[in-house]
Formats: sequence, C-alpha cells, structure tokens
Amino acid sequence: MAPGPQAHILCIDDDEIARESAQVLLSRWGHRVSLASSGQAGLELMQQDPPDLVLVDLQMPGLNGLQVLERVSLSHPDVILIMVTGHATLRRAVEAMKQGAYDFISKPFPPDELRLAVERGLERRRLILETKALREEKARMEANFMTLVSHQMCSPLAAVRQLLEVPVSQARGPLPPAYQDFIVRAVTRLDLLIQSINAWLAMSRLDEEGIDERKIDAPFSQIIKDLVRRVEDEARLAGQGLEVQAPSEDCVLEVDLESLREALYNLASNAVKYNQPRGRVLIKGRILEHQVEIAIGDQGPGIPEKEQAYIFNEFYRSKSREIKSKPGSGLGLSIARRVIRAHGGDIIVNSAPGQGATFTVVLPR
Amino acid sequence: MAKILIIDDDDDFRAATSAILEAAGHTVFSASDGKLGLEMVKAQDPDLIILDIMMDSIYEGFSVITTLRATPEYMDFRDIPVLMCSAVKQITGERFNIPAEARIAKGDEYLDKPFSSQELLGKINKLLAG
Repeated sequence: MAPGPQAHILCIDDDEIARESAQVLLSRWGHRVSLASSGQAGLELMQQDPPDLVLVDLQMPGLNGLQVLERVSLSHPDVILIMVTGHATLRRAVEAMKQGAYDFISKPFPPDELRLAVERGLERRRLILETKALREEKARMEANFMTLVSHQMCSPLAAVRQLLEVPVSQARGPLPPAYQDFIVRAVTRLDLLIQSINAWLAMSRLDEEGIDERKIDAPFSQIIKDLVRRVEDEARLAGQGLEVQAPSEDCVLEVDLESLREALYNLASNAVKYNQPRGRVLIKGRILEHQVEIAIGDQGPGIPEKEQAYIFNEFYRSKSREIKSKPGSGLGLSIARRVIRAHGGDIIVNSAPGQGATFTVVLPR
Repeated sequence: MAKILIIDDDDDFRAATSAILEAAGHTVFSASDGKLGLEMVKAQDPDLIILDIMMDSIYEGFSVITTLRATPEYMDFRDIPVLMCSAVKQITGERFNIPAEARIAKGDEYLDKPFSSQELLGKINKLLAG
C-alpha cells in the first residue's frame, strides 16, 4: 500500500521507554504505529502486517539492528528502514547505511529530528512504490503492444503470402520468366518478415508467462515422437533423410510442452535448413541417470568456432555466406536456449567447419 | 479428386487456397463464416474441410468443429476430416485444448497460415488417405 497521509510505522526497540515515546510522537503525527520489543518479534510482525517504514534500534539482545536490517532487505526490499543508535559512532552508522538502511538517528533525539527522518523516509517510500508501479505498467504495456501489433499484422501478412503462393506454385499456368525473379524475391522478403514476427511473438510470450506454471508430466518418448512428426514432412520436401535413434526405455519429464516443442522444432528445422543437399538429419535421444539428451545433428557447412559463442545471442546472424543466404530472424536459437534454460537445462553446440553441426539439448529428469 | 470446403472469413485467403486446390484438380466450395460453412457441409457433403480457427463471426472455428462433431444434426458428417488453420501462431498450442467432444474424429490436421502449396497438398493427401 502506498503510504498516504497516514503511514504504518513499525518501531523495534528493546527499551520500553523508547518504544512508548516513539508511539506517542508518531501517533500524534497521524501515523499508525506497531511496536516490537525484539528483532525477532519485529520480523514476525512484519510478515503479518508489512509497514511502510521501520525504526530499529541498533543494539538489542538477540537479533541486533544490523541483523534485522539484513533480513528486512531480503524479505521486504521496498520497506524503508531507519537505524536508531544509542551511541552514535560514525563507523556503525556508515555500516548500517551501506547495508541498505535509509537513514540513522542517534538517541536521544529531539522530536523534530525524528519527524524529519520519518518524513524523508516516507517520501522515499512513495517514490519507490511509484517507480515500481510505473515499471510494471510499462512492462504490461510493452507486452500488450507486442501482442496486439503482431496479431494485427499476422492475418494480413498471411493473406498476402497466400496470394503470392498462387503464382509461386504456378497454379494458374506458368509464370512469364520475366516476372519469376520478382515474385521469388517478394516471397523471400515476406517469409523473412513473417518469421521475424513469429519469433518476436514467441519471445514476448516467454516473458509474459512463466514456463514453470505450465509444466506438466510428459513421456520423453512422446516429446521425440512429436518432434519427428513435425519435422519429417519438412525434411522430405527438402530432400533430406531423417534418422531417428530413440532410447528403448522411457522416462517422464516435467516440461512445458508447448514451448519445448517449439524450441526442439526450431533446432530440427535449422538442421534441415542448413544441411548439405541430400544430407541426413539425425535426431538422437538418450536417457541418463539425472538427465535426458536430445541431439540434433546435420551435415551442413558447420559453425565456425569463433561464431559459436554468439549464435545464441538475440538477432545474431552468421557471417558465413552459406548461412546468410538462408532466411532467418536471428531469434530462433536464442528463444530455444531461453526455453531450455527455463526448464533447468541447456543447449550445447558441437561443430567443425565442413563437418556439420550438432545441437545437444540437456534436460533434467 | 476430392470435394473440399473452405471455411474462412478472409476473402484473399479463400481465393488463394481455392486457386491452389483447383490447380491440383480438386473441386472447391467456400464459405465466409462458420454458419454458412455448416450449411454448406449439409448441402455439399464435402470430402474434407479446411477451417480457419479465428474468424470474426459467432461461429468461429472451434464452434464449427464442435457442432460438426458433437451434435446429432451433423451425425452423418462428423467423420469428415478437418484441416484447421490459423495465422496467429499461438493457436497452434491451443489446438490441444479443443473441447474433448470435438476431437472424436482421429487424424485431423493443423497448418499455420501462410502455407506453401506443397504443405497444403501434403496434409490434404494425408487426410484423404486416412
């Protein structure tokens, strides 16, 4: 809750008189006050009824002020903490401030000094909450904007591409050769644009939704089967052989099927796309003690060693001519890795120039 | 050659898909919304239906397929294979959430729009053979 004119202030002090005087003063200034006589009691109170600001005594038996500060900055990072010191020494004050206390005042303090420190602290708290709300609003708007814009673009772009498919497939008779090149170029550019938008959409979805929340149990064999089913037509059309080595046993994985499917399909589709003509794509699943592996290999030009560190970066496109000639958004691999890492796994690439590339996905079981 | 019904609210999409299917020798009918589409199912008894999932009509794709598969009125037509498609990629995932009663027919297929003529004809041959 944003602190209005009335804020909730928690005073943690082992000294009864200090607590009472704080209560009298703070209530008089219109705040709601909670009191705790030890660090532990204060932290428990915070869990039940989080305050806007905490006044905490530095020297107390049990948890001292610095220990309270340490725990508060972990559990309630937005709550302002003011350290109250009995024997103000500069060193201890600096230490408290370094650890995230907003301010410190030394006992005994005149009421005005307390008032000033509390008011400044509450002002700071207001700013923190406002910034947080704005940041959340901005993230929400960006996500909505992405989705909205992409959806508005998806249908018309798909329609344009579908219309172009009529001349491309020469459904109404042969295309005059003088026009052929232009149609092919238009289609290539359009395909790239559509691919980019789909990749952006996938990326914004990953940010929007937690993969964890959508995890379900799925048999490893099914994941491989789905992948093969999805990529086999594509391989056949590209004149590529598809070899599948599935493990004889099976095991159950906890995964978000939808995003994992997309990530694996992306790797397999790349293998088809970047393979040598009439090459072979190998999909190999393995079950190990604590993890499973899916290796997807091609016999294409391979990825130069110095590029291997960058290929998972967003919008990175290979410098090699063979790869650059194929359309790509530069997002596929980066999305795939984000998905796999969100599953607690990773992707490893093995490649040497001229000897193809193998991407191995490792997932915990 | 087959009798194919396209149900899609996008005129351009219907035109393009019809041209490709006709070039492959199929007979094509089309409907611009789900309600018309369901009427044409009865009138034409197609061998296959190409159905857009996201349509701006009360009868969008999911209601069409649910009606087709689960109402007594369409008892005679419920085994017609359906190729579902959508330009919005997220739908790909949602196809797994199609109401259970709508999934009576086995072997329905799905395609993301846009698709190449090979992809389209490949899926159609698969559905017609199954």
